[in-house]
Amino acid sequence: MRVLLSVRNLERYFNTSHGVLHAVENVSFDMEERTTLGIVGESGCGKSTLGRTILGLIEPTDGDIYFEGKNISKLSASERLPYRRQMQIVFQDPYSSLDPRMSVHDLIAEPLSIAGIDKNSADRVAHVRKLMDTVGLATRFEHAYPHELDGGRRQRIGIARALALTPKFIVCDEPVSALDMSIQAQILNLLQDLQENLGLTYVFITHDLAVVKHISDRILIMYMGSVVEQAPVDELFKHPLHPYTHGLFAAIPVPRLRERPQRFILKGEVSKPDGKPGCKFAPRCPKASVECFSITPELREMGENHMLACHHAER
Amino acid sequence: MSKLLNVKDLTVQYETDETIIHAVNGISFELEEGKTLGIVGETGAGKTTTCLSILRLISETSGRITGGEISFHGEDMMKKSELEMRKIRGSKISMIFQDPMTALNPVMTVGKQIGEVIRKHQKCSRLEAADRAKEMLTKVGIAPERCSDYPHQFSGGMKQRVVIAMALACNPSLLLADEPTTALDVTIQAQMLEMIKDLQKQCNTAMVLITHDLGIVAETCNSVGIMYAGELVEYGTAENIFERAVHPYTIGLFQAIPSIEERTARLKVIPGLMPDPADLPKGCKFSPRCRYSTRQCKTQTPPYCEITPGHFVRCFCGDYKEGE
Repeated sequence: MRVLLSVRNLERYFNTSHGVLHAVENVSFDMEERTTLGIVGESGCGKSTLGRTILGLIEPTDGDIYFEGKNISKLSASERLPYRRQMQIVFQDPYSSLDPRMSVHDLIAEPLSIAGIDKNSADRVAHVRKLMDTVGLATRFEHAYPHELDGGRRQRIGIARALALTPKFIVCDEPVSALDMSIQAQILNLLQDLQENLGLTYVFITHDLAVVKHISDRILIMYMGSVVEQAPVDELFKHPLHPYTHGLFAAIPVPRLRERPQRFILKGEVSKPDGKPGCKFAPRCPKASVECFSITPELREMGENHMLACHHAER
Repeated sequence: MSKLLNVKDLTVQYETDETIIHAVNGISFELEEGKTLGIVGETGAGKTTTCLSILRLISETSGRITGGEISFHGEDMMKKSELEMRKIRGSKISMIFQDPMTALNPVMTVGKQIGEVIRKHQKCSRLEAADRAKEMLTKVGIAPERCSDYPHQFSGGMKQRVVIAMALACNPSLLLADEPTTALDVTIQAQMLEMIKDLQKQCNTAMVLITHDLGIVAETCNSVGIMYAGELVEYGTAENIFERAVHPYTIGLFQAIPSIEERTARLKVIPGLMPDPADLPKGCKFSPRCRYSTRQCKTQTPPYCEITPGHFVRCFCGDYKEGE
């Protein structure tokens, strides 16, 4: 399959009053068309910043982003415009990402009017209805306002807005975390159907491992701005190599009664990524040795398309 | 073992200008000393309202407990005066809220906040209270020197530890935990659950744990109640719910969550939405979304039947099981 998106050595730093924060550090990956890349990590690990930097909503500090082979990270705003239409985002919170004073029709028509599509109002109405149909929103909600709808329907509006300009690539930033269990399943199924029917490529950002396992082809695990492990989904769940990945997997509560062996619980908490050399996970890592605190582990290939940044783990 | 908490036919309503919202509609459960009951349900199912009514904390301006009995240590909670309730809250029954960021006073050191609870309920000097506060902090895994820090100096996980220290400071016999780990990351959530379980064992505290995560329930609870539209649709031991679930909603919930252990191409969805508690459907509240619903389900309220000892289901399917 064709590679749609390549990210090379992407970095994004923020200047804060406590010094430079390395939100995204040296991230590289490739994505094939019609696949889903899951980005997993805890709050503050830089997963949303990474998603937004790819879309150009945040300027990268350094590094390159190639979309269909063209480097789009160094383009001017007007040169970037056609690529923005191809790359869209679905936000986490359907309660705060929609303007409460716009009706469902207006919300979905907004991207169309910005792009100057369907200037004729009858065409516009038909187009919006078609989009509503695609995401499973009944047309009777056309004139409703977001507060009249539940979270699942609101998220459908968010998805319709993202689909309006027929993009190839969508960043889904925790699209189901704010939803209830039974609604979450409806939205996940919708996203999968859309991918199949419209040939979409997703970056799926989440902290929920069960969800990411369900929807992704490949998973990238982030810790404090860096990628610690990257592998195809089945391989990763069969042979997790990084101690952090082990810790994450062990922490997931499984909805089944069973005797658990002594649980491996990660100690400590995430601190602020300041860009000092050494493995960022070392202070919490049960396997950490002296070199972990001084030498930053490079992401290396471990076979089976499995990349790992750790001095210790062996396949 | 003796029954610590006994809730029978609890009904709570909220009134607005135009409508009556049926938040909790006749739920019954009991809890033994030192045990944990998990209450699972989606937003608006009435989980939090149930907990608040045990503490009689439903705001009087809009809500009312319209029926049912709550007995705690054999005493009728509904007959207690406000003054008596104040003595119970925080000392015999305490509650942990979902969001540790808003549960703490930002302009008071954490040591003082923990000490405040102790001084309110036990006769002791300021110094003694401060010592007890330090002891509690150590118990929840925070260095006692940090008692003079303010909440903003702690991370989310640490704040929740402080909240737990405060809740357990007076050795309550019942802890109501309302989604205590929802706002936390998974690795911190695991630390927190492990700690709560440990402390619970040490102090023999019973717990009502509200959550929407069936995984957390499997790991911590002895008995489970599944709530839907203000009713307990299924209630029983953890084994009953996880291995022999009967109610279509319970089964649907299990199928709707993606599994970490096996991969399925598509998730099985419960169609439709939770009903509006101001306008509940007739008959079985779940019937509009249930694929087994019959005409009977749409017109008659299904009985709350005990299909095996201790396993209750509110569904006509319970009837058939009994008939078999």
